[in-house]
Amino acid sequence: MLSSMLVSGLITGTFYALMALGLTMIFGVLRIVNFAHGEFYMIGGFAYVLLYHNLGVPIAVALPAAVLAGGTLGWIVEKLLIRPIYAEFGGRQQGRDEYAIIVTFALSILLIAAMTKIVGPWSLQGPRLIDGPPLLLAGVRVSPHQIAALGIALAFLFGTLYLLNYSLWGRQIRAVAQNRSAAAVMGVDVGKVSTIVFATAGGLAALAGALLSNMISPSPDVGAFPAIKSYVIIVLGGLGSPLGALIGGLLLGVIESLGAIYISFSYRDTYGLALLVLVLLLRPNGLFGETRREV
Amino acid sequence: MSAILQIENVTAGYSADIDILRGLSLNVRKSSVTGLVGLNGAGKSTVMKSIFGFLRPRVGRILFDEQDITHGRPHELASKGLWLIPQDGGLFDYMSVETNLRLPIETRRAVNGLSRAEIDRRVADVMEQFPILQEKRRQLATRLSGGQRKLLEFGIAHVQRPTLCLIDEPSIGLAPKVAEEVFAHISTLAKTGTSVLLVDHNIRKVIEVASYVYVLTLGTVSAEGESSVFQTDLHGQVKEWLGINY
Amino acid sequence: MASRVSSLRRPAAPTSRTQLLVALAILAALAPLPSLGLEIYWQGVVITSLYYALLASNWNLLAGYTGLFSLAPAGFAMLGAYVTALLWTYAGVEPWLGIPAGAIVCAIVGLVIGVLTLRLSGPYLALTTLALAEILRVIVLNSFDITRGEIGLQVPALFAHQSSYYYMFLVAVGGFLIGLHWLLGQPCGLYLRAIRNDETGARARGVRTVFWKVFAFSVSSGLSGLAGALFAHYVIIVSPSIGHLLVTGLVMSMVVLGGMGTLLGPLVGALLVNVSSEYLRAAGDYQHIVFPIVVILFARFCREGLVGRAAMIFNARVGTQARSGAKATEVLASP
Repeated sequence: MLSSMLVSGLITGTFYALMALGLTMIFGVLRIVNFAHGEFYMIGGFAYVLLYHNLGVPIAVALPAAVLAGGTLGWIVEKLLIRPIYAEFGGRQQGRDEYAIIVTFALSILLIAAMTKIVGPWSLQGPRLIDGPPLLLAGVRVSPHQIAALGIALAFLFGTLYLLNYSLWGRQIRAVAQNRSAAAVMGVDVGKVSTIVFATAGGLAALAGALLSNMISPSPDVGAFPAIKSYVIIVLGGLGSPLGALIGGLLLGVIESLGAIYISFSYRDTYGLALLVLVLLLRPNGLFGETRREV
Repeated sequence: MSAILQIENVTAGYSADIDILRGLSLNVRKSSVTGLVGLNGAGKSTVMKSIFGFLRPRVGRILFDEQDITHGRPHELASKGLWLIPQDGGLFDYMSVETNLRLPIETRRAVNGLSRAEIDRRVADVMEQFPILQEKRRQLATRLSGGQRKLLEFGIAHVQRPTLCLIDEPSIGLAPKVAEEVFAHISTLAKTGTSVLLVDHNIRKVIEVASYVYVLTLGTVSAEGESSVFQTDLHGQVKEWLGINY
Repeated sequence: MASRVSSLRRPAAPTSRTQLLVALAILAALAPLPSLGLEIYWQGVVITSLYYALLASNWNLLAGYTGLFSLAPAGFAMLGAYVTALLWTYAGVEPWLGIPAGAIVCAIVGLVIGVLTLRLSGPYLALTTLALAEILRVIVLNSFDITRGEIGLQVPALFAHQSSYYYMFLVAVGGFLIGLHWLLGQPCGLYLRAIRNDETGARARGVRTVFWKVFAFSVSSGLSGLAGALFAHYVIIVSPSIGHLLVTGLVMSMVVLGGMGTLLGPLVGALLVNVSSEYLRAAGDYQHIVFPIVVILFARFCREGLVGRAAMIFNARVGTQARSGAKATEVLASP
């Protein structure tokens, strides 16, 4: 029982981590929280489901298209709404925070409302990646679809982490996160990096939305909880820390799944808040925080 | 001697109605150190920011190697052979000393077309020149002391072999002995063919290292000349330029 | 440094007595409408607008004056409403005790969240309040045996006539704005504004920034709870929809549209947004599409909001008159 709960917690946690990774990358590079992150997830889920059901696009095309939709949205949002932050506020963090919170929160509501107008308030279940009889994995019954979704999520998760740490591209992103002006001096186009990071984050969240669309059917407001969980995770892991997003995601998945059996299933979404309070109380910089508490 | 950098009549500031630089003109000579001194608030750091594209001049133009770079963006200037050692924090704190040395030159490999062997050679050169960096190559930059950080920043500049290096207040916060070492490295940079624009509060040291010196007062040049001229009666002259008791 | 200079050019009179007088004049102009035959339906719209004006002014105290961003104004209103509703349902506590109890519970929750998050610099308050707001809603929805979930709890009405609620909310908004005006003139009001402008600087000058931030957040949370509890006894049914994030979105758009950091802005914004919401809802539920767009455009191109912009134009004209030798009255002088 315990081991099977651990496994199912780790599976859920992987998808959480996928969302939180993009969010923490955005925070690292731009020092802002994207409060519309759940809507990238939602757009990914709907792109996947609608392409498959309404246009008959095969899954092998619909899934990359969903990632692309999230990435494109991230690209546009950064260019149109986030870019002015650096042009207008200079080094003034307060003005930047105000603008970022207001604009991304408004964007989140706008995207939910617009999607409700377009497809209605209902939820639509996404297709399975592969069909087949369930398998037993460490005592947990998992469908081949879940295994495939998990595999893709893991590949993207570790692929992104690998690139961030070992590729020139990733090192440049980390350079911008650590020292924006020094990165510009050495020849990195910080504006372009910000756009790329936003697009990557959008794509990763959209991927999570598409992969989970069979288990959690997308509706316009489906993104709220995945987003709140990724906020908890990035605080838990340390704002701006990619490794922290991974560990934090897995940890939250496991805690929720343990809480679901030992405390109460219907309140499983609330354990994140308890965890958040504990982290703020005991280790406010998070597990892997690189950021200083006071600038 | 011809100029590598010409600043012509530049006016710049951070908000629309306040000018920090007011019709500033100065030249940086090739392969030598040009000094820039002035009181706090005279606009020394603003000059650096304007040259490197962090601040757009409202009026005037800036020429680098006879090319107009007035509206260049920072990352474009880097690839033209400019380099900046800022007053505080030119390092990536959570990367190793070696990554700090390598990342900038590797970033610009697409532009400068250097071979990997050449990069390795330059990094090895710097490690030899600064033994402390060799010793701490695997450590995170955040673990270095203030003096070691400054040396690492000079090491990184050496790896770039820039045409023009802007150095903003290199000795601030350093022990006198370390400051001596830093100024020695500035001379070395100039000897290896890099032109340097040096800003520092230590007027005496600037005049010692630089071949030509500008005095900046309220955003414009109030005096200039060969540094040898200033060495004779520094005291009197400084008093006169700055209107203070030095 | 640049922005500090430009922030000096923001509307010069944030606590201006003129703004308070205009706000009170608007409330006074609304007062006789029920007796002049304003339909019951539109009375309801005005009451809701005034409820929103309370939430918006409250949010403005945080965001506009102190620079703190809470994403739980609606969440605290819901909490306040449920405290009085639960007390009535399970302990038979009368509203006149239940309403203040709601405010106190919210102030305490605000105090705890404030202590946890406001010691830290960073976006912790926004993140935590968003999580709190949504998770409170989940708890209410899932605790069906106690809260009856989406169906909601019935609470007693305070008055027999709707017009009585109308006057109650008019008085509440007027009282709140007078109180806020007074508070901003006190040393503590200056501390709050100093924190928004330059927190490090404020601390360097001896302002106990964490204490005042926690104080502002706790007071504001309590007042949001009070507004929610009052509203509960007007709508009679307390349901989780009071705390929906969409409500927080509307509150935010009222403040951004009216003008952050202006006394009058939230009231103007609340009336504009809520009344036009009626038409947008009738046209096909467009309000949650239109207002986010308005918010983004204002954040981008008109950060001072309508009232802030008006104050700037007014100040500029007074300034020109003064320069040209005309007798400038001191209408806009801050206290």
